[in-house]
Amino acid sequence: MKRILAACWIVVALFGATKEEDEMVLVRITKDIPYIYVDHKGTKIKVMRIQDPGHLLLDDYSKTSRPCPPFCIHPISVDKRIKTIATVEMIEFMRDKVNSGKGFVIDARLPHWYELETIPSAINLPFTLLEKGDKEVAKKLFKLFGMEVKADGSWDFSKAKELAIFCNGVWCDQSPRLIRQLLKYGYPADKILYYRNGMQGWKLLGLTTVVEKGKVKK
Amino acid sequence: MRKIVVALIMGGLLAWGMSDKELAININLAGKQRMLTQRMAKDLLMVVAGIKSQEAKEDLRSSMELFDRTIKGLMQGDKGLGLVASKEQNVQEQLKKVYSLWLPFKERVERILSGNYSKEDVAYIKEHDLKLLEEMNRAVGFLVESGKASKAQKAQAINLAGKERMLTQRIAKDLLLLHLDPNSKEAKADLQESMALFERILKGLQHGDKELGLAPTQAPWIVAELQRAQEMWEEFKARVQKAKSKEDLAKLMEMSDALLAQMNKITKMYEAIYNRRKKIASINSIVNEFVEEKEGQKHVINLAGKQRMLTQKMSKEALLAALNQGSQQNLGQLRSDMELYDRTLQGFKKGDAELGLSATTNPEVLAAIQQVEQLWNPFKEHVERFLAQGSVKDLGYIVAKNEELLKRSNDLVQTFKRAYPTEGLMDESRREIVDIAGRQRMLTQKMTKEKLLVMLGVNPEENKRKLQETIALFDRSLHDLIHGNQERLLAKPSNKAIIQQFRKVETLWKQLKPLYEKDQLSDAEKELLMKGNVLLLKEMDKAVVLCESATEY
Repeated sequence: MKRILAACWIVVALFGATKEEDEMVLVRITKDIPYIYVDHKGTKIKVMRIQDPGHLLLDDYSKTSRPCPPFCIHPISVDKRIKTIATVEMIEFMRDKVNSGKGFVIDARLPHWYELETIPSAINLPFTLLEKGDKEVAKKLFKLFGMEVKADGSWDFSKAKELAIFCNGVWCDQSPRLIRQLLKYGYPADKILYYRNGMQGWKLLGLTTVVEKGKVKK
Repeated sequence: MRKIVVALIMGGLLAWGMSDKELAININLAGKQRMLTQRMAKDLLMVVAGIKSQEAKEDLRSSMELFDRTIKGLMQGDKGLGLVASKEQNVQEQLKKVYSLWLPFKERVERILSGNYSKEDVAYIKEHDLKLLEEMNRAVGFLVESGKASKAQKAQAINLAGKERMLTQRIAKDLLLLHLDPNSKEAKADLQESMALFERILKGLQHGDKELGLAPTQAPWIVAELQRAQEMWEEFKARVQKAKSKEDLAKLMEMSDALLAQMNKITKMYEAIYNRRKKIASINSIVNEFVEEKEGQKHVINLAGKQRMLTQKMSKEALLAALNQGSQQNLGQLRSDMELYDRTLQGFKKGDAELGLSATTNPEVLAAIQQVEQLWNPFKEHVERFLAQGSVKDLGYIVAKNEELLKRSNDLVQTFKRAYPTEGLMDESRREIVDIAGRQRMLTQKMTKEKLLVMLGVNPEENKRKLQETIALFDRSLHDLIHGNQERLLAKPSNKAIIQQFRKVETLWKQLKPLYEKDQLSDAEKELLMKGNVLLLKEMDKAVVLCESATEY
């Protein structure tokens, strides 16, 4: 089976050049989505899956076991008010919300992890920032996310952006911790999405990642 | 022609002196005013030519009202439009100039709309629309100059996409003028110029144009809209060539409006992407502040850890100099290590930009620094005297007091660690690893010093015992660093680079350890040990850096 798929891939690679770009995609995201484009730090990134059906994951994200605690498996729900999403919903969020300026993809890990490799279009908001910060830090951030301070000083989130938050994977507690902090300071739960699969789930599907300065990593 | 096109564009280059948040809105709306001058002139000509007069009148009224509100908003601010008044004097003066031109212009437009107008009113509009455009363009230019160059560059796409809107209306107006007076050389030249300008900007927005300061547009959703604008433009151009009848002209007017709407959509997209990037940059700046603080903490702990090693290195160097082992080199090294220790200690207290240290305010840390100083100040005096005179008395003091200084230096490391809370188990473990690996650096120097003391016959039994303890501690710590030790909170490394570096240290250590343990060393062995301990320190230091900076341990 693997050989047949590999052969198909070679055929596509050799002869696909004459077809439309999206028809050339053998390993599609879904039947209807061959790939999407997003903006990452001013660079156009094509988000698609690795087209080699023989490709295996060999880097750190192939690791199965890390000590628990702290790296314990998290339940599907981080909070009953927060919607958990899977990879397809994450990609749709990037295509429909991020590209139209209605949402942000948030990488909740520490900066050196973000710089090493991240999901295209993600911005870094380390989980520790709000844990260490206070209401003023939250206010500064929330304003950038579209929150408005009303005349009486209360916070109006009606125009706040939607946030899709991730970290390393189902065994990582960094995005749950960031989500809890966002809720603590009043960010509306219906504007927060938890991408539980995280980097490991993303990479397991061979999806495009970026390293620092928007360079595509395969 | 090309030069004229570039001059026209560059003459109208954007800018702002507003806050980042208002930047895009102000550029967009100030730029839109340029389009409105041409749209009003076009609508007026449509009324005169009897082409869709009623629609043209309605459009003329709404353009007039919008221009009026926007110019006032640019001068005084308008919350509804998102405009903030510029504080720049030249911007305000230029806006006043535009306003003074606008008032008589507006008066005539109102008369035309009421139907009670003269030929002079129409002539006035035809004569002054370009003047109004020119002055409005200048106001945009002043706004640009009031902002920073980088801001202006980033906003270039918004400005030029916005300028395209004006050009659609200017082209339409020129076509109407040519319909009314086919021999008008002025209208013909202006039409050619405007069409060339429109085409160049559209191409520049898609593929980049260095001279115009435009980078190729990357955002795929804008690229798609630019392609659509290109198609519309090609169709428009083809129709301009063939236009003969009044109906052709009416169709062209419709198409110019569609093109205007398309360019308006694109301008808003550029504005949105610009705003998004500004927001991301602001979020990054908040995160960076936090990162710098974290990095600063690690850096302080690393330097405090290094101070421990320096106490032992200084003692070793003093002993080597006394033993006539590379005396000059060791004395030179001793001086520089003494200066480094002193400078770092002062840096902890008062801050030192070059060392990347900020002044300490934590009272517990300040007390620990004071404790170190009480020992360091006399220690330093003895080192300085030893450097100047080489007296045995000073060497004795250094040998006698270095371990106490080491202990106080270590207390300071632990105080710094307590002052910076950890972020969980892994963070705590990593900090412990950096501390233990950092301590190994000191141990390489301590055991060398102890070996030298034994060789010199200074308290040989006591120093031999101490040496054995140091060797055992180094051995045990290296083993725990390589294999992990849960009790000591030391995780086993899985990072290949870290494992490799520890193995390198281990290999080197296996060669040196027998020499430390051997009672009598030949000259060749002594030389090997003196060179080897420096290498061991160097490789251990590399391991510390890796432990501190690797993403995954």
